[in-house]
Amino acid sequence: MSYRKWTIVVSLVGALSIGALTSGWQRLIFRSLHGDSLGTNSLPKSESLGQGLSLAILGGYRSIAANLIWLDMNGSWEKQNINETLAKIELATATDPRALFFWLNGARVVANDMPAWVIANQGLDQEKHPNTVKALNLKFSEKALELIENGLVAHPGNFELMVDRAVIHWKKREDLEEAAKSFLEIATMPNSPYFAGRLYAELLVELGRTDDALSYLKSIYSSLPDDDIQAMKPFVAERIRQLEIKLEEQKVLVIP
Amino acid sequence: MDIAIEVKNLRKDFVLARQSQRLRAVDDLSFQVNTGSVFGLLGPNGSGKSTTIKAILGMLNPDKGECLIEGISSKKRESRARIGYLPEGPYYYKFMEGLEFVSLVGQLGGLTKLESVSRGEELMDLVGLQDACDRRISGYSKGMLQRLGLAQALVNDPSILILDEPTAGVDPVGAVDIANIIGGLKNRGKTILLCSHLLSQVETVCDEVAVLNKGNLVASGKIDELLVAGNEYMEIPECSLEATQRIEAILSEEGQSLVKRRDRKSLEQLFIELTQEEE
Amino acid sequence: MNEKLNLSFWNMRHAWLIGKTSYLETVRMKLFYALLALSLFSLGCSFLLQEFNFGSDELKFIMDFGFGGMTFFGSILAIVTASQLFYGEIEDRTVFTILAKPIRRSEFVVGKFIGAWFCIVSFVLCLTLCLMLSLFVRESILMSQYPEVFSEGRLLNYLDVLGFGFMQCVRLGMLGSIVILFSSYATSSLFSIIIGVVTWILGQLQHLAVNAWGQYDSLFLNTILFIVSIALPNFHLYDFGDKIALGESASISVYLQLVGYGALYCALYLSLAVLSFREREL
Repeated sequence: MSYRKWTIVVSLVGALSIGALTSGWQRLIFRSLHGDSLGTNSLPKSESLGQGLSLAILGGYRSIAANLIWLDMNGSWEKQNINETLAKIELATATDPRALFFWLNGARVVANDMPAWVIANQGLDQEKHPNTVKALNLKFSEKALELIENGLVAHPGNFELMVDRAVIHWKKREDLEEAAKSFLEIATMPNSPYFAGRLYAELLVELGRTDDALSYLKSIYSSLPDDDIQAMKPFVAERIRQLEIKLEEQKVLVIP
Repeated sequence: MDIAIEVKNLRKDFVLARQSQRLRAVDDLSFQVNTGSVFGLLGPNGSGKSTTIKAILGMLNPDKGECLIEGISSKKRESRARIGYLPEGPYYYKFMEGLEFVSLVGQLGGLTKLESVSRGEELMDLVGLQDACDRRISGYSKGMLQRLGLAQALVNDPSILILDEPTAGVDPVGAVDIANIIGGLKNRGKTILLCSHLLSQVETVCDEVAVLNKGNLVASGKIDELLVAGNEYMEIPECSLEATQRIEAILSEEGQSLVKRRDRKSLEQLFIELTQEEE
Repeated sequence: MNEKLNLSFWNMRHAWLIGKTSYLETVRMKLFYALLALSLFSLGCSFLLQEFNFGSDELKFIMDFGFGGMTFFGSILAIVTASQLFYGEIEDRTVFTILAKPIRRSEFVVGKFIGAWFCIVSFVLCLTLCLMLSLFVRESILMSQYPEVFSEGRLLNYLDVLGFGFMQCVRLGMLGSIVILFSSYATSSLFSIIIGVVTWILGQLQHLAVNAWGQYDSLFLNTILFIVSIALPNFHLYDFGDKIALGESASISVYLQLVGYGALYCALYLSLAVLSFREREL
């Protein structure tokens, strides 16, 4: 073997050996910096590769590149071009996944605007074509939820994304069970917004589970602060009273 | 007499890029350069001169044979401590100033910064670049680069100088200056290995030469011995007309005649005379 | 022979002299100033382009531009200077004059690395200081406009910005040492630059390869992923600018580990470069 070939083999073996020896160390440093967050690693392969590439090539310039893509997306949005708009939303989020704005507004455009465009373009009417409109809402909701799930990988435990997820289940998919589950998930997280718990209870009422709603409101009532207006403690007390009356009335109706 | 450079059975093959063939650049080359002599390495382009020099400097690994510098193998770094090298080209750091570069080379050869600057100034003066010390090398003419090359080769006061085409691109006046410097170095006991296409210059300054062709040594030895031709001529100093007639008479008795020649200047000599008068 | 010349041991002075000269070469290169000007221009643009910012707050936006200049233009500078300083010297034949002196090839390799690294440090330091100044000025303006947001003092830790800059020097040093390794094999500077760019991107994606390895049916693909995930350093470890933008600090221990990790890889690549260059014919 020539010296040149020998040095290539030695280089490869050396690089592999050091790499194998330091792989544990790499993980340790990564955890020290980012905790146990998986970051983009748990995204689908194509998306994580896209995000990794944008980070690799653009570094900090990702944000301006993503902003420019978003600006360009606005043009497609004005033209109501669904495929272009969707592609640019995905490109903007892939280029700079750190910007919550792209995930949130992207999901809202997909869930709210896109079905509205189709309905308007095809001259559909909610009254006359309820099934078609519902199918459209379901179709775009699935895409919006997918975007939000990916956004949650980049922003684990982000309330704004989770609230949008719950709202899409509630308003667009009309899946009250899933919506309630989503609001409960938010409500059980530390430092979550107070309205999540209240909405969870209201959805239970809508689902006909008034007693569950009452129990839940009673369970959180004592933990609500008196001095925080957003906690709306008096409102919750009033709602508990209303639900108790409602349940009493239901009992009276049931007992002949 | 001590041997400064010894090349023993040197062979070097190069693999050709697109073929699996080998090109033999130098084949079983042997010669010696005696201490204090000026040795000319001659040959046409592609004859193996540069390969031989690179092997002497340890930049190429011979396939066979070896090169010794004052008895030390050229593979060892110590051998280069004794050598000053003026490369063919020459190519230097264009972003540096002349004196700055000579000083760098001096420091790489073991001088302190102060020593190297002081020595550099002396040498820049010697090679006629005293006014260009602070100029960027990128602004040097080819002739100035050769002079700079000579200065950097001398900065560590080496015992052996390897000069690869030291007068390439230099005008005849500059070439004479460089030849004079080489002569001066020879007088100071330096050993010089000189590669040059200017055969007249080689003839003037070299004691011995080796001629290479296609990687083979085709002739070597002392210049005087190599240049002996077939006929021997007698030189008659200027004498009276009467004396000349008597010699002609004697020669005609022998069936011979006196051949008269007039000294002729070379174009190079004429150029030097004219340009020096101008100056 | 000069008695002061130390021929027995590895001579740091030689490496230092070559490094100093190489550094001088890089900072006299137009490319250095062109990249520095572009980076500073883009940093200046971060003030003007606030209108285009959708995703992050102002200070983070400015920081993104500053860090972008360091990583993007810094990587280009590291690749081109390392290749130019090492292989360029062979191409330009200036190497003959230097290696005709009694210096070791390893001293030459280390010297070239020193020159390239000091150039990288100068570039990153200029950008870091300008970024810190920009952030300080903008944060001071915001503090006067929105005192309630800054009731607990400044949000940014400027030492962390400096620390991040230094970590980029380590990362770019690793990239430079890889390019020197490739240049020691290369037969053209274009080759070493292209391989340098590929390594830069693959090193940045190394953590993805670690995750993806073994998940494909193709043996070839898995082998490639294995090599990328093990043989290349993880440049992604040094991407912690977002944390600094959020006001989070990295611990001293993490900084030290990142320096150690980078130093280990630089030592590896330079040792391999010496091994390759030692017998290289010029």
